[in-house]
Amino acid sequence: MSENPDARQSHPGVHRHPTDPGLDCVYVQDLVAPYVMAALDPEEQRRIDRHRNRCLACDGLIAQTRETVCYLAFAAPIVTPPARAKSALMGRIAQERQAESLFRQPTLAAATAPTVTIPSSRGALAPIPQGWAEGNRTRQQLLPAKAGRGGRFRPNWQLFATPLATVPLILALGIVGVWAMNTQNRLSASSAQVQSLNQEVASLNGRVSALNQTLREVDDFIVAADAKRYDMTASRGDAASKAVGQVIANPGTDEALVWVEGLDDRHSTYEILLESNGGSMVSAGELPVSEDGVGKMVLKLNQPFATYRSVHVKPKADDNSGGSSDSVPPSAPDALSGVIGENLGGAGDTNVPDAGQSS
Amino acid sequence: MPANVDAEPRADLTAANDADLIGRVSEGDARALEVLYDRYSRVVYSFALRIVGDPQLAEELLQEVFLRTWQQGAAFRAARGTFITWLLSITHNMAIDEVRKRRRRPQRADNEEPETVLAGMMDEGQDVEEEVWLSSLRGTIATALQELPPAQREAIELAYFQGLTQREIAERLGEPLGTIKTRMRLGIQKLREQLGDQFGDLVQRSEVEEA
Repeated sequence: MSENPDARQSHPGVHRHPTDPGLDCVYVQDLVAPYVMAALDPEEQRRIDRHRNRCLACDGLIAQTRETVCYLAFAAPIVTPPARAKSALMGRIAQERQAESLFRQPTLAAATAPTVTIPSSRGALAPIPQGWAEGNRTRQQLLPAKAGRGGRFRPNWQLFATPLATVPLILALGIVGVWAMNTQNRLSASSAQVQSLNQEVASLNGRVSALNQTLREVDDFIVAADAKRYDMTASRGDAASKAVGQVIANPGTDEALVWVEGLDDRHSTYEILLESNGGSMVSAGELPVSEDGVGKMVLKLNQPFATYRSVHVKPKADDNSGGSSDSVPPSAPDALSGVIGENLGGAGDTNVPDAGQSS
Repeated sequence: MPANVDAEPRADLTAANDADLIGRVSEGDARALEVLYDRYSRVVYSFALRIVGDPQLAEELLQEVFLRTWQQGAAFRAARGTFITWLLSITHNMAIDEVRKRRRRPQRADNEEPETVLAGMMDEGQDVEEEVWLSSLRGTIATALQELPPAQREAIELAYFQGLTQREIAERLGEPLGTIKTRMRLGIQKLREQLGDQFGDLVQRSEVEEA
């Protein structure tokens, strides 16, 4: 028989593919025999794999040649396999069916959860002949394949792939869930903290507003060009007292501002007394004092403050005793006192905080 | 899967043809696989043994081939060829993979050739009818192979039974690659002409029996 490499016979139904001029049907016809015998180099094998997917004629030629080559298997001397091979096989199949039935237990999660597809190593372990495997692939490999007596283990990774892939998925979901809960808790705590701070800010704003109001009142007195400052000091016999005070008066009006600090915190109310030029004492009003000994009030007088001789601040006699509040005993010592005639001063010398100082 | 597949008497399945049986296998009928095993395990085992030359490995391959049949029976398409072609193609691919893997590993000096191993194994066939069928097939194939030019037969056997690629055959024989390609192409072409359509019917054992 001729072995001329150029002796190529045409194959009925074979047609060239203009889109793939380097790999046409004549090329496939040349290599179809070694192709079905898996005797081509891998690249040649892949080129024909690609071509047959587009060419029904060549696909048919390959199937026909495979049928012929398959006959060669019958040339082998017939030997009967050991009986144990069948029992081992059926045992593995029974095991696989059992595992399959376990996997098929109907569950809500299985019915609703999306499936995770894991690349299979099946083809590498036992390649299905080209052209056979493109059809139905619904059956699952569920058992690891273990060889028979020889003990060669052929793991069926598909059995483990889905559970193995699910474990990190569940772990990831758990981590995300815990993280979300922690974040939610932190956000709630932060929100409560912000709310508390807002309330504190609102309270401070109220206090600042009150302070600003006080400062505006002070301003009303000190902005006058002829405002006078009269200092008050503690009684001479009370060396331990840190009380100080001032009266700011505008000679053009009958009002005066009294400001004190450092008064004894055992008394919450003091009385302002003014001594007239005739020596009589008249009450100018009650001065409430805070727990830290600070007090302020505007005196509404019947005559200008400068017309009086002296000013006295005394604790209310009934403040701790529970007695009548109508009068201050004359014998009560002064907490603060000042001589009006000797206290002339300018507005710029006052210790009262400027209206612009909000602290 | 049909609910009553396992309840059907096995006797009914032994009369079924290969396509019906593999169809039932794809639906999960283990008894159908058992019938196919009984029908073709000797052919598969002998073929695997012819390639790998190791009875233990051939036995493992036999199990693997039928396990694949169980797992991937749905991939079989009757329109694309007979079941036995599909089954033997799986056997060939798996056996060749093993041979090539072994070839890459160091071999023991006392390794025997597959032909030597086969010659030392006595067949204990039990079914006379099956013996007749297989003997007839083997005789037909042997005759067709003997009628091939020796160079073409050698190239085909090196590729099919020893798992050598065309390039490896060319290197071993010291021939140009193109020559090896031509020998294989012409050899297979001649086999096809000699065996013709009658061989396909002969391989369909169950149909022959029914006829």
